[in-house]
Amino acid sequence: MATAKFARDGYTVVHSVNPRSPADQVLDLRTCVRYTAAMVGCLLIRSFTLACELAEHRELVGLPVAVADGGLVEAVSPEAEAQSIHPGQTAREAVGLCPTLGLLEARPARYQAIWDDILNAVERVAFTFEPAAQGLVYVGVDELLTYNRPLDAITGALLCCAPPALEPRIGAAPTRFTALLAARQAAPGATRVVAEEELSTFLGPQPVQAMPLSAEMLRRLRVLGLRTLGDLRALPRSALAAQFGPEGALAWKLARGDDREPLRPQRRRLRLIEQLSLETPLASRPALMVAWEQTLVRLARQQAFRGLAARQALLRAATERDRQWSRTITFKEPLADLNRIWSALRAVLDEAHFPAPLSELVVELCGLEPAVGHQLALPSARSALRARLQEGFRQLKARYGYCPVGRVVEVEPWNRVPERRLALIDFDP
Amino acid sequence: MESSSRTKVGPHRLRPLNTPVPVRLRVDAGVPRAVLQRAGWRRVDLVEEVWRVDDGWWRPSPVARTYFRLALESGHVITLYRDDLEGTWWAQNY
Repeated sequence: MATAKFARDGYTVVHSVNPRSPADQVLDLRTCVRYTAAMVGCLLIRSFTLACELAEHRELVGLPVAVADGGLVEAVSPEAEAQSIHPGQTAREAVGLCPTLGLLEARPARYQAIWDDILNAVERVAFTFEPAAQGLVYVGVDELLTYNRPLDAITGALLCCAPPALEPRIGAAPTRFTALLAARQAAPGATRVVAEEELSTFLGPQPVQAMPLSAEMLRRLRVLGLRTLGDLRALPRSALAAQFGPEGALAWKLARGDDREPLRPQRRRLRLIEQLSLETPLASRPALMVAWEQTLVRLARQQAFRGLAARQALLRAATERDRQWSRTITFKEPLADLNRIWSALRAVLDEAHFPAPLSELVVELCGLEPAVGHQLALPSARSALRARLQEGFRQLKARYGYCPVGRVVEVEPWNRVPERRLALIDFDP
Repeated sequence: MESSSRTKVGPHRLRPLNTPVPVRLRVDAGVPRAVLQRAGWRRVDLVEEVWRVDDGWWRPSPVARTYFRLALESGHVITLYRDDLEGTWWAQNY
């Protein structure tokens, strides 16, 4: 007979076996659930934006480098930090302080794509994971331990989720905050494990400034002379709560290693993606609109989209030099009709400022759910004609396997190279 | 997660029009003198115009061409160009 209870350190199954025969005993041993203490893994990539850039510009490793977005410094390398450059400064000020500074333009869409790839890889390794920010994801390790996988194998698999050039680190500990501290102390590409019994010893000397608290509370803790978590947990909880309110109580819990809230698993996102690569980068807006529309048409025709409606569309584009552009469009209601989706996207694309001629377009539909019916209008003569035309195209497609009809679009009518002025794009109804 | 086709659509989906066609001709001092057409060699009566097109020099595949508008002995006017990077000759309407 087995009884189950919720313990402070996670779900455990306690067996009280009273076998009537040796056969029952064997059965009970087979069904026994291993007792495991709570263990949270933390995959950390320090200064994610900078790590992404340095992974692609290895020649800049070890030099003062900063990533700037909109004229403001967003991330800096330790070498740049040593020269008094810090996030929030203007790029002009940073270059003034360090003339040899390598200043890179931020590419948010690129970072998001890399992070998505990492999360997809984590999803293949772990059951429960909770992304906290770009470059930081918590993983439920204890539930993997129940499958008789050694901790080394699990942390090794998690490390492989991120490219080594990003210098990922793993921390594993009974609580989320401790796992984060452990990951910060781990060497690049290595793991730091803090077991339940060494939790108190590990947390004691950690600086209070490492806690995820407001800047004001950290300042007051500094003023009060509370330097380490050991200093903090020596105080009664009521005193901290009285002084700082709920944040004080939270700090006390963090300092004692009592933050045992379960991970909030990420909801699986159903999404569909279509991509169009262009041999010659396109700058002409009419040609780009046709290309975007064509990509959306191909996406909407995917078998997986049948009977679904999308809540959100993500448009991504890349230039010849891998500069990225992206926009997320949230629809007012879930849309299943191609024309309505295109109307929403076209409004955004009409106003978009692309950084340079585009060489790759990506359309992604997410937030997919079953479509509901819409009242249709009565057919008109024009729509009947269009329907006949489309039926003709469909028959051509059925006969040849593809639609042999093309549509001439002006790509760059001003171009001095004749073959770049006009192009034929598939007309695929 | 739903698997996506992620099809690399490739350049065949956006096919350029008016692409150049290779042409055979006789050249003298860098100037076309006769062009091989279906009916045979056609002598060039007059070089009406010559111009250069340099474009995309910042790209991996730059364009450097010298265009010739030629009047043939048959009365036809055609446009050819010499690819200055590879030294090949092509016919293309301009």
